[in-house]
Amino acid sequence: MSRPSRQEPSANPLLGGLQDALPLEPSLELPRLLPTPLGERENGYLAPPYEEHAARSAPTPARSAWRRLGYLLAYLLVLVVALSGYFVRSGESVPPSSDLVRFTTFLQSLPGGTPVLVAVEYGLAGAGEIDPLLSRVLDHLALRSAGLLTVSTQPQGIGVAERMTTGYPAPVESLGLLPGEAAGARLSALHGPPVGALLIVTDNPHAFQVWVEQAVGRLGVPAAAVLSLGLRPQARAYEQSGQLRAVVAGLGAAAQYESLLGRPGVGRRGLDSLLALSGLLIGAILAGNVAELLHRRRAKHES
Amino acid sequence: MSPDVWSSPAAALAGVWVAAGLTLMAFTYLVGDNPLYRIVEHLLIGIAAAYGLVVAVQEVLLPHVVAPLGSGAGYALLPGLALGLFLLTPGSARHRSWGTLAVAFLVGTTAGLGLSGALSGTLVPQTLAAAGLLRTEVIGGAGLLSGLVAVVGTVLTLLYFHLGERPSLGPWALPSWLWVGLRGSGYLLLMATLGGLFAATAGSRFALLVARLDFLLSQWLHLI
Repeated sequence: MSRPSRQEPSANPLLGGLQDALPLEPSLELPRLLPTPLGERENGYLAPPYEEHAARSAPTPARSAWRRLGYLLAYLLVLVVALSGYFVRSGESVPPSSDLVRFTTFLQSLPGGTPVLVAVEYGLAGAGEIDPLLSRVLDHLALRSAGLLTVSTQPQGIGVAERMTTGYPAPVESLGLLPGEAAGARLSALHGPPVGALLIVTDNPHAFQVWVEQAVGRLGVPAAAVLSLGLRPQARAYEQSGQLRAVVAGLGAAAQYESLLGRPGVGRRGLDSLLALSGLLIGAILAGNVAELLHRRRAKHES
Repeated sequence: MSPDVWSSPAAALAGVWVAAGLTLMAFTYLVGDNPLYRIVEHLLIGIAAAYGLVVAVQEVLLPHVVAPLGSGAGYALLPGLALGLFLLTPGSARHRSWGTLAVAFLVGTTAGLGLSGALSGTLVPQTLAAAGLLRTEVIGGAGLLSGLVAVVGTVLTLLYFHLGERPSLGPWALPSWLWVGLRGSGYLLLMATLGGLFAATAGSRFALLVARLDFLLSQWLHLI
C-alpha cells in the first residue's frame, strides 16, 4: 500500500493543501476577493452590480442621520400609540367570544373532587401575553374549588407554575420537571396520578404538539388549552377534531375573561393599546404598499 | 438568609425597581447596540443557564436518581445513569465512542415516541376529523362549506407550486387564462395565510410590549 504523498508547499504555507478550510462566510460576503470557478470575464460581469450595490447601500452621513431620525420618530409613534390605550380608554366591558364561552362551559363541566393537570410550558417571553389569561383561568378554577397538579417539561415552566399558583385557595401539588419532552409528557399521562382534566398552557408550538400527541389521548380525560395568540391557528385543527374541548388565546381573551368575572386587570387595560398598535401596523402596511406602488410606477415611467 | 426576607415588602419594592431598570436597559437597544443592553443580555443568559442547572439538580437528579439510589431501591436506574455518564465521554479520546451509544438511545427513543405520537395524536384523529367534515348530517351545511373551502384552497395552493408545463388531457389542454387564474388564486391564498400568521405573531409581540408598559406604568410609576 502506498503512503499518501506529502502535500506540496503552496504560496500560503498555513493553508497549504487544505481546501475548504475557510468558513463559508467570507466567500459569501466577499465574492470578488476569493478565487472562484468563474473566469475573469464572468467576474467582470458580477463586479459592476456588486460595486453598485455596495456604493448604494453604504450610508452617507446625511442619509444615516435621516435614517436615525426616522427610526426615532417611528419608536415615538409606537410608544404614543401604545400608551394611548391607557389614557383614552373606552371603559366598556368586553363581550365574551364563542371561544371563551366554550372554555368557561368546559371549566364549569369539570367533575369535582379530581384535580386538574396543568402543563405549564411557557417562560418569561410569553408571560406578558399568557399571565393575564392564566390568572383569570385560575380564578375561575378557584371558584370551582378545583385542585391543581402542575407539571412542565421545561425548567422555566416550573418557576412560572410556582409563581402563578402562589395564593391559590385550593390544593396545589407540583409534579416538578419531566425532562425528555415527549417522554416526559407520555410518562405523566401513563403513570401520573388520576386527574379530571388536562390544561395545556403554552406559547411554544413544539411543546403544544407534544402534549396533544403524547398525553391527550392517553389520559382519557377532556383537555383544553390556554395559548398565545400566535398558536391559535395551530390549535384550531385539534379543536375541530374534538381532541381539545376548548381553546382561549391572547390578551383579548384575557380582557373578555376579566369582564366576565368582573375583575379588571392587565388584559382589559392593555386591550385598547393592543388594538391601537394593530391599527398602526395595518396603517404602516398600507402606507408601505402604496409607497412601493408609487415607486414602481415612477421607475417604470422613467425607464 | 431566611425566606421571609425575600417575601418582605422591601424586597418586593427592590425587585420592582430592579425589573424596571432592566426593562429600560433592554429598551435602550432601540437606539443601537450599547453596554447597557449588553449587560442585560449577559445577565439573562447567565441567569437562565444557572436556573436551568439548579432545576435539573433539584427536580431531576436529587429526587429521581440520588434519593432512590441512596435508599437502595434504585437499581433499575443504573442503566439510565450509565447512559447519562456516557454522554460525558466525548471529553476523552479513548472512550468517545461510548457516548455514541447514549446518543443513539436518545435519538431512537425520541424518534419512536415522536412517530407513535404523531400517528395516534395527529395523523389518525385529523384524518378521521377531515373525513367527518364532509358528512353533512354530522356538522351541517356550514361545516360542509368549510370543508370544501379547505379542500379547494389546498388544491389551489398546491397548484401555485406546480412549475412544469400546463396540464393537458390528450388533445384538451387547459386554457392559458384559466391556468394563470388558478395559480394566481393559489398565490393569493398563500399570501393571505402568511399574512394571517404574521398578524398573529405581531399581535403576540405587541402584547409583550403592552405588558411591559403596563408593568412600568402600574407597578413602578403607579400612574394607573
